[in-house]
Parts: sequence; C-alpha cells; structure tokens
Amino acid sequence: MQGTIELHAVSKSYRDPGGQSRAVLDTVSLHIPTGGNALIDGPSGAGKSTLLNLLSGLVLPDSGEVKIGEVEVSALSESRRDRFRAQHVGYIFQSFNLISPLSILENLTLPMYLNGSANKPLEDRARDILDRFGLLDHAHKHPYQLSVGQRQRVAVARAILHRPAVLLADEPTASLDAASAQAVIGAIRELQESGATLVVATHDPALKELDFGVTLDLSAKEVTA
Amino acid sequence: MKTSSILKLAWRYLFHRRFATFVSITAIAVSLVFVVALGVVNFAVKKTAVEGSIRYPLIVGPAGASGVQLILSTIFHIDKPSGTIPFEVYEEIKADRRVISAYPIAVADSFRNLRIIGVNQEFLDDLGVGAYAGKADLSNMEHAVFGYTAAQRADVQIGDTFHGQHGMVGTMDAHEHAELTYKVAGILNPTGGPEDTAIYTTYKSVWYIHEKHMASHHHHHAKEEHSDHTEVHTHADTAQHVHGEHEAHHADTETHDHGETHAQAEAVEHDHEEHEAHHNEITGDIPHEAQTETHDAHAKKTHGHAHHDKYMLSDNKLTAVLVRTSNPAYTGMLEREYTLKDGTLAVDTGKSIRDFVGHINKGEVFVELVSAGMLAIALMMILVTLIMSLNERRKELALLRMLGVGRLTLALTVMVEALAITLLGALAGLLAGHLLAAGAQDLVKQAVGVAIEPWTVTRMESLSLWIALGAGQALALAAMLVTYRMNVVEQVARD
Repeated sequence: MQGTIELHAVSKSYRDPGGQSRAVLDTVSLHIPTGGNALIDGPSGAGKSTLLNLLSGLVLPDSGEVKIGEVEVSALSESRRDRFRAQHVGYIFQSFNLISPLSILENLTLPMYLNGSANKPLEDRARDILDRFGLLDHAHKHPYQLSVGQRQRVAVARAILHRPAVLLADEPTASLDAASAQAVIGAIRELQESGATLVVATHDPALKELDFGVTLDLSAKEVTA
Repeated sequence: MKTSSILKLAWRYLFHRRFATFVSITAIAVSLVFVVALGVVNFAVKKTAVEGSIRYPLIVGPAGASGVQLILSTIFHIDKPSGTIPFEVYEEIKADRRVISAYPIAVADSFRNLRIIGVNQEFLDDLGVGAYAGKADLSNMEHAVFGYTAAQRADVQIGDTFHGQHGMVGTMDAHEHAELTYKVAGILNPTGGPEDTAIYTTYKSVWYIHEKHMASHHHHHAKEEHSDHTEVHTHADTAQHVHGEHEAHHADTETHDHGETHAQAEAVEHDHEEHEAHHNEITGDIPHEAQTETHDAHAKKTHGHAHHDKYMLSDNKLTAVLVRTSNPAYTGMLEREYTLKDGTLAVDTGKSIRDFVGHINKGEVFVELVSAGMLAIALMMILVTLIMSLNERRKELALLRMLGVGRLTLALTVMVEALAITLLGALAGLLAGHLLAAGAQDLVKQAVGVAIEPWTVTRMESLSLWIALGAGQALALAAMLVTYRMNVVEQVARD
C-alpha cells in the first residue's frame, strides 16, 4: 500500500449546539508523498483534528476528495473505511486514550483482534515494541498504573503495531511534561525514518523543530501544501 | 478470535464496573428466587396431593368438616381431625361391592410432635413401601411402625419403647398416655410423601389407650363427686378442676347420678365451654349442633356412655375411612350416599384436590406477577446503568472506532454485556431459589408433611427463565441499538 496523501478542495463544517453551521475547513488541498512527513500547524479550533479525522476516514468531507494511495477514502462505505483504517492507518491521539479496563498489552492487541487485522505474531510484535519503548515490564499493568509519559508512549506503540502506511498524530505532546514530551518526540523521530507517511498536527514548538518536508498552516486563508 | 475478543472486552467492562454489575445481577436474581423456591414447594405439594387422590379416590369422615380439611388431616396429617365416625361406617364401606379396599384411620395422639395414626395391617401392606429396618408389622397392639423421617426426627431405633402423647406438644391439653407402651417394630423406606413423618399403630391401640384413660378418669371423678356433692359450688369447682387436669375426658364420661341443682348443671356447662378446645382435640371438631346437644344433655343430667359414644374416639370410633372404588362412577355414587347420610361426609379427593391445586395456582399467579414486576424494574435499572456506562466510555468507544473497530462489533460488545448480566442474574436466581428450597426442606416437611425435591425444575421456573432471558435479549438489543446509533466519532471530533 502506497502512503501518498492527497486532499482536493476539502471542506468540512459542523453544526454547533444552536444549530448554526460552522465551517472548520474550507477548500483545503494537500499532497504528501509516500514516506513524507507533514506538519499541520494552526491555533486551537483551526481544524487540525478534523483534518486528521478526514484523512483517516473517520468523518467525511462536505465537499472535496480525500485519497490515500490509490484509494479514495471519502468514497468508501463506513464499514470499508473502518477496515481501511484498521489496516493502513495508525493514530496517536491528543490525550493518550487508552482503554481503562484493559492491560497495556491488551490495549495494543485487542483493538487489532476486534478490527480483524490481527495476525499470528501480533503478541510477540507487541512485546518487542513495548520493549523498545521501555515498557515491557508494564505489559500487564493497567493504564492508571502508568505515568502520563508512559501512557503516551503506549499510544505511540499501539499506532505502529500493525505497520501502517500512514501515521497520524494529533497533538501527541499536549499535556505532557518536558521529559515525557521529549520521549515522545524521540519516538516520532524514529517513526519518521520508518518509511510510513507521517502527519503530525501540533502547535508544540519543540515538535515543530523536527524536520518536516511539508507544512500546512491552517491559519492561512487559502490552504494548499 | 474476534468473538473471543468481544467476549473479553465485554467481560473486562463488566469487571471494571463490578459494583454496578453485581447490583444488576442481584436485582435479576432476586426477581427470580422466590418464583423458583415457591415453584419447587408447590410442585411437591401438588404432586403429593394428586398422588394421594389417585391412591384413595374417596375419603369418608365426620359431617361438619370441609373436604379440604378432611384431606389435610387424613392425607397430609396436618390440621386436627374434624371429628369421629362409628366403626360401623368402615365395616359397611368395606362390605360394599363397589369398593375394592377401605382402610380405617384413627388419629388422636402424637409422639415428639409426630402424628400417631391408627390404621390396620392392610393399610401398611397397601402402601407397598417396605421396611427400611425391622418389620412393617402391626399384628401386635403394642407395635408402632415409623415413617423414615419420623424415625430420624424422634431418634428411635427398632425395639425402643415410648408412650403416646395426647394432642401435640405445646397444646393446652397435651398429656402423656401411660396406658400402653409402644414398641418400635419397624421403620418404613422413605416415600417423599406425608407417610415419612407419620407413626403407624393399630387403630385398636388408639381405642385401648383412650378407653383405659377414660376409665381411670371416671374413677377419679366419681371419687371426688362423692366427697363434694353436698355443696353445689364446691362440686362445680371440683368438676372444673378435673376438667382442667383431664380435659380429654369431658364430662361426657361423668356420671352425675346424684341430685344436682340447676346452678350446678350450669357451672358444669360453663366448664365445658372453657375446655372446648381440648375436647375437640380428642373428639375432633364437633359440629355446633352436636355440641349444643352435649351441653344440653349435661344440663338435663343425661350423661353416660350412650351419649359420649357418638363423639369420643374410643369405643369403636374412627376419624376417617380411606376408600378405593372399582370404578370412578362408584366414587361419585358413594360420595353422594355418604354425604347425605347422617353424621358422615364423603369427599371425592380428585375433585377436592383440583380445587386445592386451583388455590395454589392462584397464589402462584400472584407471585409470578410480583416477580414479573420486579424483573421489569431490574431490567430497566440495567438499561439505565448500561446507558450511563456508555456515556462514561463514549471516548473509549470513539477510540476503538478510530482504531478501525466497526460499529456493529462495538454494539455486539455492549449486547454481550447486557446478555451476560441477565444470564448470570437468571442463573444466580435459579441457584438461590433451589438453595432456598433446600434450606426450607425441613420446614416444609414439618408444616405440610411433604418432602420437596429442591432441584426439581418446575414449569413455573422454566417459564420465568424464558421470560427473564427474553426480556434480557430485548434489553441487550436496545443497548446494542443505542450503541450502534451513537455517533461517538463525530461527537469526539467536535469536542
């Protein structure tokens, strides 16, 4: 699967609680080559998370086209988008978003079993990754037993477990202390070299210092990259 | 693998909020526990009643009682006998060509709160239970044959001797009959029916004891009369005293053949009223008219054996006759004949048992309705708990959706949770119900003489289980639908 990302004049709006339509993204276009690294910049509410959700097929654009590799994600049915996401997209969330009743190891593997993308050596691979991130000793602990930084590293580990073609990171260092943020930045640097197409949405200056080939500033009036 | 993962996730969520899960399971269990326990007890009572009615399609007893009362005292050995009938009634029935077999029943005494039933050898042979120990032998007037549970409860062994007790322990008139010493001749095999808690002797021994007892009372009373008869009030006091001591032997046995005043007669009559409860114990519940007659007779100083014969268990009296006819039509005929006869009542046990079972069924319906209400409340509570839980884990559901887990898979997980709660609740309810029935085994045996089989699965239980599971399935589908329709991703994306 090629990890080329293409957005053509994508617009997205939400209805606020008062029923008014609020445009979040307006005719955004973007091209990121396979294995490329992109930084999505912009203030809070600029639509960074929405852009990532559009790329993963979680939400559909009101207009425009979202394409990853040869697949037009925005044209797929919901179940096909689920399957596509399960197989080809890795997601690191703003807040670590681990599932509280599951152990760390289960947090990595169970979603894969549930979305049908698990293969046999999944457990071994999960242990390898946890080991790489210095978390193997915590494999059978629950999320509440880990520090904030450790939890975010678990989230990164989960995102790369199934070797996705596209990795999306939504404010991965938000709400982390400096040391934890550095650990996550180190992990993302590794991801940059993994061959996956990486899209990071952040306004963290430390993260922005990394070498991103493409930068998309959503605060600009016309967004094209 | 996916299925096991769904089960695993559902289990983890159930365990994660274990207090809410426990409360939900308990709520379902409580709604079922009484239906199950009551079902088991009722099933055993109905089974015993029906078996009794098949064994003895007709019971002939004294007039003035209700059919159900006669059945309760004769088949279940609970409630007092409702009076007495002459032995000739038994002889007449036995000689009737429409009758296959007839068995005399004479009940008055007890031993350690277990009924002593005066029967004959044919009755025991007809039971066909066989002896667990010793012999089911009533050839000797001193022999007593214990039901299996009765022997355990009275803690007796073959060869032990004992005295009967008039009435039941703790009743006003309870006193020991030392006139005859019984010997334990046999212990019957367990039947699961009221026979287990009975002690069988010959009806002749019951007569003998009461005749002897009355004779000694007569002698004692006559002696006191001679010393006091010159003073009206003193005599009245003495009469009362004697009645107090020997209530079973009502003034029917007294021989007031010396000139009593009207006042004296009134005093004696009063004493009789005071001790009516006791009198009934030995003679059975004498019809009101008959009692009036007795007391009138007192007032008229016409006491004597000719009068007391009619009501006392001694002197060839029985409390009932169990009858088996050769044809159901004969049962109806004999029922009519003996009901129309003066002083007797005949009960078609089949008909009465149907009425009896009908009453039990009505009670069951009430319990089922209460239980259904409790179940509905429990299910609503579970639905509310599940929806609250869904809202709490909205972000986690969104996360799983973002990780590619389909809507249907998540909805199925929630459905499994609801089903698991209902199923575990139902199973816990069934188990607790059966355990409750097992715990109440002795109590039921004591109260109605019926051995319950605590692990019997009744129709009521099966029905309740299916209703609970059906309602649980509906609840699970509702929870699944709520989850499926939740656009968690959109909500989280908007946050």
